[in-house]
Amino acid sequence: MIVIRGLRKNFEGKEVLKGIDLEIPDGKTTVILGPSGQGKTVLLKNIIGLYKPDSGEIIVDGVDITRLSRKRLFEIRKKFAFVFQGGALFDFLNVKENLALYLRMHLKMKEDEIERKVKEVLRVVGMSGTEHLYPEELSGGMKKRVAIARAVISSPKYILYDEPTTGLDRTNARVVNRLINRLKEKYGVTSIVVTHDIECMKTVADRVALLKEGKIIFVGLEEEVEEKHLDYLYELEEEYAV
Amino acid sequence: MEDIRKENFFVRIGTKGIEFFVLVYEAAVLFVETILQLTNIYFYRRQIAEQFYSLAVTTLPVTSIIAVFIGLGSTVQGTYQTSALTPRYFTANVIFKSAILELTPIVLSLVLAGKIGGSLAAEVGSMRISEQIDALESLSLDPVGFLVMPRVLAGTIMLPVMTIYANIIAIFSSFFMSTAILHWISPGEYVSGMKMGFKVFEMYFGNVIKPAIFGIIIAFFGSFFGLRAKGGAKGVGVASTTAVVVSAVLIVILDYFLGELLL
Repeated sequence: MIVIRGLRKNFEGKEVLKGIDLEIPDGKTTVILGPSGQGKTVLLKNIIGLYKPDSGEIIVDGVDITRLSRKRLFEIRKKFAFVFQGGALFDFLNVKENLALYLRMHLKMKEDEIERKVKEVLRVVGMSGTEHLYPEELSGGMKKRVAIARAVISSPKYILYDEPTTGLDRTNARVVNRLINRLKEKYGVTSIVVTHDIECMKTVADRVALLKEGKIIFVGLEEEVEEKHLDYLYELEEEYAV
Repeated sequence: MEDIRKENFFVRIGTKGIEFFVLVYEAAVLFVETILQLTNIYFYRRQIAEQFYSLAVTTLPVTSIIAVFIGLGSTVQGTYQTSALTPRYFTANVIFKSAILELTPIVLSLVLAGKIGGSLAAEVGSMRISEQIDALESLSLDPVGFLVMPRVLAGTIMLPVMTIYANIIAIFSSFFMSTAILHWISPGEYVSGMKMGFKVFEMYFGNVIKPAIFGIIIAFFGSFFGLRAKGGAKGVGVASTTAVVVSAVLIVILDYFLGELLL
């Protein structure tokens, strides 16, 4: 379980997170919904320790990661996987090597075992046969799916998704949404999804947190959002209407 | 109006000064982190091997061309400037020592500062802006250990290797030009010129110490400015140019101080 208390973060004097309080229960998908520029990605990067908060606590399975040494933080991070908005696949490695990196560096797996694991995970995300391709040869949707495969291959407890459907057409967005649900069911992972995509929220969320101007203004079930914060959803829909 | 202009001027100078010291501090911190990562050589052995291979393969053609022409150029200049005034073996000695001690290490390092330093900064910089550095961290891999340390180690070892190779090529091309094409000196005289005042330390200084230090500068500042890149393609371009300029200036400055200090 992840517990966030009084989290604050500012960049060059501009306060982006203004005291976030949020609990992420195990085995569920929590969607943090909000428009761009509200600090969603900053919040996600704080949770994994890529940013250090100015104040507040981030307690992961009973350990406050904001006070950890770099070495301990690296150990805790092994519980996490992060799916970046643009995929952030290593462009000097092909798909297989991107997926194999964690297994090779941390788990010291043998080559045949790596081969088997990579094939298995690529099958789960529907990308079989792409092992030899380089990121530049993949479409946006394919990159997202390989990024998800890279996240899941390390068998993390938590997967953090940064705008998983942004930049994708409807078909690919649906595929990614289904994949998020499938990984939760198949591997029992706890997912945190930050997005502005209402469709994504409706498809994957067990719980929803609304982020507005650096603060969580609501936490509850998806139906409750529609009941209590319909105006917020309209605003969001309007902002991103094509 | 005058006051505002003055204030702006002093504020600007002050801000630049602070920025400079922050930059030096950050470079020092990264350098110490890079040294500390040497304890993880075995963990990052694959990345280190890749950097050695990549550095050797990408620099071999340009090193060969530069070396041949350093040999030929120094021979033409050496004979033109001194042959009428000094014994021939002395001219051979000047050509040999100027190539080994000064020309090859500095010309090669300056060219490689452009080639390796620029491409390192661009490579690491584009990784920074496309969140690949964050992705490394999220996989519990230290970017300093994964990216910087292997590059600095490869630079430190491969630049002396390339300099020794370049010096051998340069001396051979000079020897061939002098004895077989221009015929201004016999092979025996040329060799005795090379032997004249031969000091092992000088060879070590020109072939190992200087290139190793220049290798550290090139690889380190390429990585350092790459890691600091921000703001898209323009940021990568700025990182790349800054890395090349800083490396080149430091190489020239250190070339003087190392000579003054050690010779």
